[in-house]
Amino acid sequence: MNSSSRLACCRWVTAGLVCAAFGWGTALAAERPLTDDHRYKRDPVFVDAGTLIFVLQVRPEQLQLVRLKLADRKQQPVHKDETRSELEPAVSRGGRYLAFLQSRTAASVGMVIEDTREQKTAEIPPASGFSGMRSPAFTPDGKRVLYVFAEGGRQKVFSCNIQAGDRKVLVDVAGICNWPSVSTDGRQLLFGSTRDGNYEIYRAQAADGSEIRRLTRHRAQDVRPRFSPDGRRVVFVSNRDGNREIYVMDADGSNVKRVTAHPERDDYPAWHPDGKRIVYVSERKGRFDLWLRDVP
Amino acid sequence: MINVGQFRSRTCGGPSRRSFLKMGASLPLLMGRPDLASGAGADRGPRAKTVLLVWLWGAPSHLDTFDPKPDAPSEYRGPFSTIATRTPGVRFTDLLPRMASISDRFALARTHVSSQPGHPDAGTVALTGFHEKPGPVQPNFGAIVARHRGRTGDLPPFLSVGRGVIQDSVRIVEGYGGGTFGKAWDPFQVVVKNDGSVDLPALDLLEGITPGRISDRRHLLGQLDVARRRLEAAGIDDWERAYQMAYGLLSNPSARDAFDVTRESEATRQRYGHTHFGQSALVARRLVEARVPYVQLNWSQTVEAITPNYDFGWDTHIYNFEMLMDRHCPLLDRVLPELMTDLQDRGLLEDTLVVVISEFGRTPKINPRAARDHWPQCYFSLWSGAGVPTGGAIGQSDKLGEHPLTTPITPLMVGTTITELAGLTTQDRAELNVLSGGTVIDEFV
Repeated sequence: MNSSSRLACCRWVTAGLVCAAFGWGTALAAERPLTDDHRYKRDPVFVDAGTLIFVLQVRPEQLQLVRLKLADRKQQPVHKDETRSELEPAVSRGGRYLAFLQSRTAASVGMVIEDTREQKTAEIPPASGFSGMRSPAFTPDGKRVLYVFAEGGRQKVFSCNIQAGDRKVLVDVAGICNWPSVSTDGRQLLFGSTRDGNYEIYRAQAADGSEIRRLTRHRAQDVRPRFSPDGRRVVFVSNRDGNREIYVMDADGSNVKRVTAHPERDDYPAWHPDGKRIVYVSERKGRFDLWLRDVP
Repeated sequence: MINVGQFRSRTCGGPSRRSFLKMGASLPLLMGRPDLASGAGADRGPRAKTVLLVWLWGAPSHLDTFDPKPDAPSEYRGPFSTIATRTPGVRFTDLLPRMASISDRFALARTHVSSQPGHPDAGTVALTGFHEKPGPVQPNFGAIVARHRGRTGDLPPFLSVGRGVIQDSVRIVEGYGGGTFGKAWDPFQVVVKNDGSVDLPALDLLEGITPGRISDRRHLLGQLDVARRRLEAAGIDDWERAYQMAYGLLSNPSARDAFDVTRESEATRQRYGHTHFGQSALVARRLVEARVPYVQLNWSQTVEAITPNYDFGWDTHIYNFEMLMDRHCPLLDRVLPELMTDLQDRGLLEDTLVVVISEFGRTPKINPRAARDHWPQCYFSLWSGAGVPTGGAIGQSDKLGEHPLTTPITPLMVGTTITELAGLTTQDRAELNVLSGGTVIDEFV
């Protein structure tokens, strides 16, 4: 065995020990890239088991919604002729409705709800001046869209119907709320909030935002929670180990496990419909790609 | 790969496509003037042979980055935790772990003030030391250093790396260039793309002239006539100097090499990151290495693209906390430490002054949109190299980050300090009729 082989061998042994220590040895082996263009991307979400929508920076001034077919890795813009930036897509169960943010003028962002079957759109336009919604998410029945909007210094969780009407405040607490996610049975709501100082993850009743319970407690930022398809687990992002990595925990906040461990950033996780895997954006060597991996 | 003007050309290869003329702000920049260079400064040997100004256009929140206020009320402090740095008693937010780990390599100034609340006006004040109005607009600090130093090689003495002249949706920052010195002292624009390829728009004036054709004198003379007519049509009367600079770059492979990041190892390029700002910083480091007297590296990563067609940099009137957390700070925390470490490892920090600064800060009190607006009453800068004492914090802001508690630092003081470290004396500045009344930041000189 020459020196380079020995070095490679040592690296694998070290990697194996590290994997064993963190309990994600099998997951590492199941990790694979879904893109290789290296361009800045974010916000992947599954439409179905074979299709993703994500956000790609197609030119310096534009983020574009892109549909990715897993079978052939073919990418196509969701809205071919759109020149405005679109980001943070959410897809209703079954894929009929698509909600996303759309830039308008300077620091002014609206939310669009698109009925892909009827080719109709509804929207919540930005308020006057600098303004914008954030983080749309569908209820499991596909009848309402949750989103966040800031007013009076608080960023609250709202909901509206798919015609962008009947807007209601769902969660109004001190600080900044973001990333609402509703469990598949429609009963539980997850969201991030700074109500206790820094970003932590909370659970509440999805019907009215009541019975708020804190799930994480850490000096670092715990953000972007999402319920697994069966509602039993939560995937989220945290910088608690130095840089942004992906973690899972049980829906009651227990049993936290680290999923990714890379010197650069892993972010924007979304569950595969099978509930066993996640897709996420990984920055590696300063480049950004989508990766798919098992969840321990 | 370097795009010389609008045609692409490898440093050692021929052109690959036709160029076309893009007159306007990118055109005039040009060369130094040995006739005006002060011999006295060169004789003394300035502490800063090169100045690298990292311009954080758009204005980052000082509370969410380098001057956090963890004990302030929640409506001020924001959601980020703080972390210890290598500087005793100084903490950054947890968005900047790598910067915290090298804080002993720079000094933090926390008491900057500006008189202007809007981006273009404040940008001019920050880059020239004086208001735009009443005119005339004063020269950028880089133009002052360039004029004092004169041309030192085939490279222009004042280079601006980014996406072109900085501007908001209304207009450009008037203080980007030569000001009262004239457009001949505007910076040479270096436009870097995410893949590291470089455009040198000023060389468009030599449309049709390629490195391969330089030796064809007959063709060259014909093209120069075309270039002269273009310049005259654009109102540029000092075409000869413009041409000389462009020709010098086009005909001198070693000069052009300074722009070519493909000469760096892939490992180095990866450490900076394959982003626009990352590769721009790498180009800037190469220009420092080539001993360009003044390089302005512009933060010009269009982030989140929430404002169509404009690059507002750090201007986070909405989504401040999300954007800083998701994009701005991870990018800054990757590139700046790499740049400073790289400069130090190459022995360049000894006589290179690095200044990281913006036009103002952001409101300490969180706005109704759960973000932060403009705040010229208090902001920060970072200083490194050229003998500046590092590993400390200069001055202190109040408990809410609203105002300086100690001596305020004005843009005029910044410019005076930069030029002083670059070798200009009070007399030199007086002879150039610039930075009148300015005083230096004592801790740095």
